[in-house]
Amino acid sequence: MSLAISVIVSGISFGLVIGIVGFGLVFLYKTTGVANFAVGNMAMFETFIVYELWKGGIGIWPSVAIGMVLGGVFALLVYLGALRPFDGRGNSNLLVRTVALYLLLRAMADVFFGSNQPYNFPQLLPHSGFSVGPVDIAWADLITIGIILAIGGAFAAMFRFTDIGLQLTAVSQNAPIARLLGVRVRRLSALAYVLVGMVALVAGLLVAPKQLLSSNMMDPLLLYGFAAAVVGGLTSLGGVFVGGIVVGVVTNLVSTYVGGDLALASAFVLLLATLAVRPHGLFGSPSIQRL
Amino acid sequence: MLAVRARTRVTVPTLVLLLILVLFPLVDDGVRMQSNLTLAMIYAIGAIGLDVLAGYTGQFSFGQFVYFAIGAYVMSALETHAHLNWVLAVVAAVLAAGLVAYVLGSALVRLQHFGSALATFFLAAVALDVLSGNRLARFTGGDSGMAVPSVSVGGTSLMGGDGLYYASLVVLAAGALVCIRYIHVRAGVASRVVKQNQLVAAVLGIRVNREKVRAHVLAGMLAALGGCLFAFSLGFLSPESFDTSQSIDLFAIAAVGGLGSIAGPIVGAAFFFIVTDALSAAAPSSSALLFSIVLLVVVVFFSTGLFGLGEFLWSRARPLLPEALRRRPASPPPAQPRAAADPVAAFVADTDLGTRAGSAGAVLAGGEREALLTVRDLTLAFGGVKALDDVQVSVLRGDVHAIIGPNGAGKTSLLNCISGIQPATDGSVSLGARDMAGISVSSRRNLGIGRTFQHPSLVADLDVRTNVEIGAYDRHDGSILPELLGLPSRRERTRVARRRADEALDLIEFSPTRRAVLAADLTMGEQKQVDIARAIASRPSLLLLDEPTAGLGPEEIGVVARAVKGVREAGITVLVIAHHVGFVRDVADACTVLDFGKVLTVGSPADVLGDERVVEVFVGAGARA
Repeated sequence: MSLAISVIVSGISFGLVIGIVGFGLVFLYKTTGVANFAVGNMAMFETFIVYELWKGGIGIWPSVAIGMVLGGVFALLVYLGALRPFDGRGNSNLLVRTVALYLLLRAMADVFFGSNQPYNFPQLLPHSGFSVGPVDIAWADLITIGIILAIGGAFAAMFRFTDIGLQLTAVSQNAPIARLLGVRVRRLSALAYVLVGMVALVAGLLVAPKQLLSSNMMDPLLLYGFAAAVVGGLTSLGGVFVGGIVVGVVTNLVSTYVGGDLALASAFVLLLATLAVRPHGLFGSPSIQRL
Repeated sequence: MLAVRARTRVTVPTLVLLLILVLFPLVDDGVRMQSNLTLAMIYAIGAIGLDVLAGYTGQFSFGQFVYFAIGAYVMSALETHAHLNWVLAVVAAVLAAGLVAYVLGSALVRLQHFGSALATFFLAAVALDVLSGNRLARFTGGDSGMAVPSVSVGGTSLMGGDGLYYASLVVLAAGALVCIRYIHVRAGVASRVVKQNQLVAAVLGIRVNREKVRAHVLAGMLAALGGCLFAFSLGFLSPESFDTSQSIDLFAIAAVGGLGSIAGPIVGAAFFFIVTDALSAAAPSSSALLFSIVLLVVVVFFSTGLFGLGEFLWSRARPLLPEALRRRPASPPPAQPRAAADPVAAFVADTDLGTRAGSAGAVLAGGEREALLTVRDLTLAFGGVKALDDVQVSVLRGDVHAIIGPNGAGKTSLLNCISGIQPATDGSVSLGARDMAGISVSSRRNLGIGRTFQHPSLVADLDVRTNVEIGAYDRHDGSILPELLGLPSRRERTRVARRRADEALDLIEFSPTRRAVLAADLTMGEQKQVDIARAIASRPSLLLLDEPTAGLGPEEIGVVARAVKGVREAGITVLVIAHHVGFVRDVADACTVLDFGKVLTVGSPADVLGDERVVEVFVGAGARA
């Protein structure tokens, strides 16, 4: 039983990391109309940048700080270079662009950083833990949970209290009408990419030390993130974290008690079941099509 | 959409490509080129299936390589463990893939393109995990892989070299011909309506999900065939050969080649392998980088792909060619002498739908006129807002009944409830004596309800006659095989549909010289006409028209009015939403006024349009002064 509780706690912490990747997906989906398949690889590429900085001899925390800025710039360049030109060609076209970006970023990582993958990434969080009764809890998990709650809170506050947040809400409800009301939609899309670029790096930094740094390290996270987004409701920024926890706990339980090869499959089943039973997810709102 | 348009006339370019592939070994017999082209053809077999799926049916798959894996593994496992003859093993593998595609497709079709893209992407990763794991290791060898049993035909090994080259070419040619056949028969045309707009397809009686699943099955079986050949070329199967990035590469090949062209993906595959190979010789790690840049550039700047580029160059080069080589411009069909006779009689005579709930023929019988359409106590609520509130409408057989009312009065909602698109909150709709509750959109059409939409949604890349023809089918049922084989009964069905389409166009007086024009090149007025023709081509008993005059000039409104009168003369009852008062006076026998979801008044057009309350609703309170 105590094993189960430990598995659940680490599942929650993993689920929040999933949630933050899913958050990037949902945030871009709401503000730009397209869920970006390249979000995971953006995180991966940015983590590589931090790794290179760290290898260059500056400490890990300064590298992280510089990496945050570069991550935002990088995401902005991705938007301006690949998504902004001819952005009126429809969502399917944009969707395929993000898939092309997915391939491109992986290929770039392989070419620029690649030859000896995977790398050991320096530990950012303490290894120790403590016990509550029979249950072992790792500090790293608690800190992860704290960081992500802080990010979620910051975004919630931005939406609630700032003018930019209000404009982002307007764009996500109805981009053409927001444009008519004077919101500069493209500028906001660029801003959304900058923010997602930074959030993605957080996800990358939380993942890299646990696994090894490689060009395909974010692939499972991207899939889990999509599953979380669908379970939580593709339009709900808070729901995606709940979805992430559901996916994190379920996959953790499955890989502990059934087998690691079915972890991804269990997330897939969750995704399909959600689409079948409740297509708009736990917290999303059904969309109404006008004829 | 990604594919700006799907093309119908792709046979010649495809045959030219296949011919080049036949002759190529005579020009260059290098081993390296041969193995590149062999792999290209193997991938192309999957890519053309993907083109049918994405380019013609509008569905995405980022997991198509799963079917390659199914084909490769099922074939090899059956040969190794069940000692099955290799031909039977290939057949079984393809059928297995078809079955999987059927099951998965049935789930995927319920998702929008994004959901389907996501689910297939996911599926590829799950399949890879399962293949690498221990669960199937008894059959697949798990992580350590399995050898592919050697296969040869008449002493020529199919495991590589000339044998595999020509085997791949034969399979590719067969696959391409099936795909080309598919896009020309009813099922393929119906898929293109689905791609354009699923609701419109349903209203035309097309079984939307069935057509989509069909495309999945076709694409899956082709990919499995490719997978068997892929297994030959590998000689040894291991999970890494079926990595998720393969699926994305396959989609990229189709997109770079140009979706909606069948020939494009073949070019895309050749391009991919030749360029990758040349680059990997020059700079080993950069081939993936370059290809992803090419993909991005194509998707961002040239969304029609290499095929579109080829079309463009050909259109530029053609004037420079000697006269004899130029293809004659699509010749207008010979003037149709029979159109002059009596279009109404021809239209009415060509009806064998006596069993329908009120066929067109029965109308002219005369006597006491009964209501064909009865709407009782119809209420449609969105949360607290009532779009329709206790609406009663009765449309007499043979009438043109107009629905008028200001914006937001619930007119389109009423039509949606009648055609089954929007389930009503309360109340009933019946056609003749038959209650429509619980009957699907496409089944209502089959029972005799046709409709048009406010924004005509013709398939832009099909010509006028084909657009109408797809509406002319009595039923969209039946298996795909007889269609692909061109059995006499299916050919007869198509011939009837074609004839009925022409009669419908004659009835509404659509110019015979404009019938070979692509719908994209029509004026707004013509589009509305063709939309009406498409809706009546199957001889419905009731025609619902949503704003057929919106956005038209006076002359075009006259044309539409004549079309509506022609439809009425042919015995079809019409329920029409209109804003234009002159049009209503001209065509309507009766008129219902809606305001805020309630029926304000009913009567003859003259009475209704003279009613003070109606004037007030339309002109505003100021009119009283």
